[in-house]
Amino acid sequence: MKGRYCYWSVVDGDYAVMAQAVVKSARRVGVFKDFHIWTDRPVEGAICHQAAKFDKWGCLFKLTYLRDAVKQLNYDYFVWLDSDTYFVRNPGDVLRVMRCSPVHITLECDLSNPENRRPDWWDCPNDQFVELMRAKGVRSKAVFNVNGGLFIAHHDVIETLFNLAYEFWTYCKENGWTFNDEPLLAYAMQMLCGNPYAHTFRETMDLWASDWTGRYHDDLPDGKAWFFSDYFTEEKILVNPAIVHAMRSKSALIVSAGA
Amino acid sequence: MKSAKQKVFVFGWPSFLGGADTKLAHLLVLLHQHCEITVVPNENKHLHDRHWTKFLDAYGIKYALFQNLPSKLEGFGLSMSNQCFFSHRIAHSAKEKGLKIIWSSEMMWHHDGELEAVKQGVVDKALYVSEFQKRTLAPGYADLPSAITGNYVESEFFPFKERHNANFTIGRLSRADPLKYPEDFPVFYEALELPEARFRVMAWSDQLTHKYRWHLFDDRWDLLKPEKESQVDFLHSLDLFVYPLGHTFRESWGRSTVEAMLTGCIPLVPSGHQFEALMVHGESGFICGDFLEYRNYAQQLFYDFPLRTRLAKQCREHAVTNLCDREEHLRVWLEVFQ
Repeated sequence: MKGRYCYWSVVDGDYAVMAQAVVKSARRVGVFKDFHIWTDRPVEGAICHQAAKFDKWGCLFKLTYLRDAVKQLNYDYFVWLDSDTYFVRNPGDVLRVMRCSPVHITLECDLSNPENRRPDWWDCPNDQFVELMRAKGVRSKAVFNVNGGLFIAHHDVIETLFNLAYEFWTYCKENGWTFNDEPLLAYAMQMLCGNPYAHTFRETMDLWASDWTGRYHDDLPDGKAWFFSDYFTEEKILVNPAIVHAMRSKSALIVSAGA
Repeated sequence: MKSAKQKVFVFGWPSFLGGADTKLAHLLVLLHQHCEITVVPNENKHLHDRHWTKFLDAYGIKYALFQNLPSKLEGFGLSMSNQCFFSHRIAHSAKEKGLKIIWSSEMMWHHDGELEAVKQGVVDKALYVSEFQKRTLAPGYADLPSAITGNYVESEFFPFKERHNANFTIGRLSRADPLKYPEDFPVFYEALELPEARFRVMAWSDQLTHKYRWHLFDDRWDLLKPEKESQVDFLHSLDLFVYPLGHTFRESWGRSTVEAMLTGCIPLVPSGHQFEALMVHGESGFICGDFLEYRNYAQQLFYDFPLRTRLAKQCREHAVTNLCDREEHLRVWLEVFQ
């Protein structure tokens, strides 16, 4: 039977060890969806595929794997997880955040917000990034950044998503900016999602959030509420997501994988 | 005795499909009493198209294949957005026969062979539909004489109808060009959150189905093939004409929007095209940037029937008075043929 969705990731080395922790944490909270992992070593509980040697620069492999390998799988939707992710409870139906969109990635912060304290994203000044997005057709007043730790794509939008991302990458490169996966995903998402305001951090923070400030530094998320810090305004928002992008917990994840 | 009317050979064929061919149909109606017109189709098959030959007969307009025209002609050769006009060197041959060539791209781009023909001196005059279009195309034409002729819509062809649709209905009518549709089109419509609304689109195509293959079009949607309904019947079925456009597409004028306005269908259109010249924002339509603007205006019109009724009438009045003034269009067009 065709599954509605699966999780997937691409890992090697320590990231493959962390992927083991991701799967274990998911199983521990009762998530028994398929995990498809392209890896250089076995990950217990996951459906493993041999990872070819891949270029890690800018995490662009997420997009090429999506187009070339993941698309071959028989699911309606694919949920990418960075390998430094931790499930603290069952997220329920992950697809609730789609809101009819073929793509979801949490739209975190408005780069055009005058209250922003951080002046740039990936070294590109905010106003220039907003200009790049507008020049390529983003129409909303708010222009959002994203964190690439989790994104969801419908099987049949993969080609369009890839093409939009590539179109934006090329345009930005022509204008002097060579971007990683996040600006590309931010662009494709805002072109495809219909109503971007339905996909903001506040609308979806029960599902997933990124602990980029290291609330759980060298430790594992524990399912208690914590303060997320807006990347640009530094506003503190109380969150308790089911899935934590535990960016600062890598060592704890590696330990947890073997436990 | 020599006729006082200018002789105009129109290279193309009228249709109710696509802006330029629809424009031609209306233009023939506008000019038929003032010019001696011969319509010259690209292909023989058009001469067997009873609908349009009857239409031309009714207005006393002649039609003939190019090869059946005399070797020497006088007057003007007019063509609008006719792909074959330059690529098949029809323009060149018409020029050799003695016609003064008048060309209108109608689009925001130059057609195959167009600029080469301009350089070779084949084209005598370029026409624009708007200042917006002229800013884009004029550099390619250099010093070629030109005129802005706009886009004549015969308002009587699009009668007003007060809407009492059982379900509030939004939709759009346009060429089935995937570039005219935004990447998120079906989600965009559904995300407007209009209770029990229906979504109607004409002209739909297999290419569009492919483009949006990730979307489940449920029973709220009517995706109609080109000319599945008459334009008027289709537009009468809509309360709002919601017309987001693809990110690489620029609309040179917006003919279907004006047709919608004439019928009392209120347009919600994107900024950054030519629509500011077609409506007064908030009075005869809405020009939207952000998605939330589309949603707020659409919901306002959904919930406030008196407002919707008033604006529908204002759309018609604005279009008739400001965009479809027959005498003004006639004056502009007759100047073209001087």
